[in-house]
Amino acid sequence: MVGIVLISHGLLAEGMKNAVEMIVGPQELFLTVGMQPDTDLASLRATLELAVAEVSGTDGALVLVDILGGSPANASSRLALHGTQVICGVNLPMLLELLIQRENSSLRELTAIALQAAKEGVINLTQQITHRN
Amino acid sequence: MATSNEVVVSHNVGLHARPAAVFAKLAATFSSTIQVENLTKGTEPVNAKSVLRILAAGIQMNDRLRISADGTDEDAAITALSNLITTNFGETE
Repeated sequence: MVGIVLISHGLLAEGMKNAVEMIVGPQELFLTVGMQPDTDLASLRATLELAVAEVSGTDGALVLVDILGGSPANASSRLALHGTQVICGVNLPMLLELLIQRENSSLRELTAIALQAAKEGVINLTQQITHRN
Repeated sequence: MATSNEVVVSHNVGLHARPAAVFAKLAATFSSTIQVENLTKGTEPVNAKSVLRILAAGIQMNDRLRISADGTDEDAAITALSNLITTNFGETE
């Protein structure tokens, strides 16, 4: 099973984990790293890389970042350079879909699923409901 | 050599996030391609292994679904997924 590490500014990663586990229950090989205002980049990178090592079994790991360009993304760059799949712009639809499909999907498949699910999960509910009526 | 079965959803909030996740996770354990179609709402068949596609199908209580599978374990897949729906995901309400 592919491991997942979620890294974000502040408590977002922890919050997303809390939220998604309300839907799918507690998950293995799933860790979060939250950057505090006074965290320096080197220690954030070290914490992240430790977390990735912890969740990476034989199937590897996926790093999900809140947004491209922030310190969490910068902290992930060394891993990305060495071939770890790092995806920026994580949302709950992406995370949910990954947790459901990762037991039966390869890392490569999950990377594609992540990108598609994140976009497909953005829906105008008002339009959907009023159109249906 | 595909197979399918129709079931009616009795779960009182339909396939909202948690049941949809349970359904998709079970579907993902089978190697066959599996689709679910909401016959009541007339939606296109969707990939049963994708929780987001199931949520987008807007499956509610009393909706009639067609579950179709195609592959070596298609019969087991249909049986397992149909049972999940008809036993209300093992929930008592």
